[in-house]
Amino acid sequence: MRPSQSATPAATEPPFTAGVPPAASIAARGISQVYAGDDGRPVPALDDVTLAVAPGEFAAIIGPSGCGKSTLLNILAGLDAPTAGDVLLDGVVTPPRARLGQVGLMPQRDLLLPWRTALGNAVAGLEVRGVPRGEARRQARELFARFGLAQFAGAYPYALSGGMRQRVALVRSALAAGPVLLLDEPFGALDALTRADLRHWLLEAWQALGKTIILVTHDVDESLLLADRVVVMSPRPGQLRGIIPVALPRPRDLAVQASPAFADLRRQVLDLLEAHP
Amino acid sequence: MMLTSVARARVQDWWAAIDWPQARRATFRALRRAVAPVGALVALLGAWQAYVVFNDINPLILPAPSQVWQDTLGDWWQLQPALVVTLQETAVGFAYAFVFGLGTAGLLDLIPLARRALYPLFVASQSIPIVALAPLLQLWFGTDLTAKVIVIVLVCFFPITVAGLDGLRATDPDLIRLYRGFGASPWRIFRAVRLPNALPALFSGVRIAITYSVIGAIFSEYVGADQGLGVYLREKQAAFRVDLVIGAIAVTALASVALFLLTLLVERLAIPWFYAERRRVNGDG
Repeated sequence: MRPSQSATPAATEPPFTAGVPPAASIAARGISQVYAGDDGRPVPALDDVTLAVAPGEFAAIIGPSGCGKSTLLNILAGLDAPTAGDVLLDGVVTPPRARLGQVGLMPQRDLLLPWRTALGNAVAGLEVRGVPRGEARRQARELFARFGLAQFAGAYPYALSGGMRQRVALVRSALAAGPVLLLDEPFGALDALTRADLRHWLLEAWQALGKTIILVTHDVDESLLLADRVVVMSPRPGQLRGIIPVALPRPRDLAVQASPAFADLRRQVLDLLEAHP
Repeated sequence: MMLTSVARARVQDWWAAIDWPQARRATFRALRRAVAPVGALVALLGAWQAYVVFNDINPLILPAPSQVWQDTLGDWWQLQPALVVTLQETAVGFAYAFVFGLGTAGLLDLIPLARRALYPLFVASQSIPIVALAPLLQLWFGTDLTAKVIVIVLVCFFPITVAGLDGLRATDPDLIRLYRGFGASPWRIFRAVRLPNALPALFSGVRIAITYSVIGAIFSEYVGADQGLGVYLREKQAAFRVDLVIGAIAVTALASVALFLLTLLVERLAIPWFYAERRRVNGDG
């Protein structure tokens, strides 16, 4: 499932978070979520979603607005409890609380603390986990150096561009997360050029850190450029429409994006998205 | 040792982030802004002086500013120690009010029941006429510092509590969720996210409270004390020294303004990120 080239850097580099396995499988089993609507009537948001993501896999979830993608991520991260169903971490059913700090969720907004420097923000999650400050800063510095952020370590968020802020937020999530990282449209608020730039960057980070990643997006090409598998969801209440394996070679550059294979996959995803039940 | 390294890193971050040209520009802007109010004050004093001189007003009823200045300078040996005593009481009283105000803000924020039970009482405490309460406090606690501190706290804790509570409650819910996702405890979220987030609002409350605290100190002395500006005012009033009363009032006002400006300076140094963010949004300083 994982591309062969990613195994090399992950194997030669020491793990960044001591004591935490670099990757784990995560699975949703029969997850349903029902909200109480404004008029008190139940509003179903997710309907019996079952999905398994392998250790170190990069999965993308795509679906129309309001299909419950974010709801699913919040449940997987342990922030919300589902109405029905279980979440399995490495094959074991876990209560929501146990996943906090194990399954990291990066929201669309960068949510940097304005009173901390970029480096200070990046260590926020490690700090909560009780990693000593010096050690946390060392780990963050290492990632900053690796991902071209070194010169911004001492800068405050107001001095950073939107793309830079998002990178810092991603480093923070990567350091905070245990083996699984969930990304909720992390590039949604950025312009097209910055998005493309950050996509490359995210792939690099994934390959270096060896985490299991689930990315929520509404951009078909983005999902095909990044993921090992694309999970397509239906409109609300969200159900699984289908899972499309993306067997394209990496790196997926412009040539790959222009290839007939890519066009064919795009067609498959769009067909599933537009299918009527 | 661990703590000192943390403190050192914080101070280094803070120091490195100071934008000196920007700080210089801000200082010049502040001085330019002071020109208009100082001009207005000078005009007002001029008009007062002219009124007294041209209408030949009895100086025992309304002395001219020049006379107030001369007489106050002449009596400075009495006024100065009184001012020092009052400022000391102000400092102690304000420190208590700050701790009490921030403490109640945190308490009311963390415990909803406390908010429902105590908030109305705090509001009610603001409608107590201190004139009526101060003699009672003096009866219970005597003329030592305790009664004075209670008066000062009563007069100025409320702006700190209200502003602090507003600041704590205005924290971005997404930010709290992010920290919850890290597995953070409510106390950690309070310390790391909500308290720093409340600082700008808290400082607005402190600015109001610090000017109230001077009034509170003088008032507590006015009712019962043996030294301080309140005592000075009471004695000079009894002796019909209108000139010295006006002089003492002016000194009080100057002290309040000085404390207010000091708060502004501390605020600029303590939350530079807030001003930098605001500059970016507004395009000015």
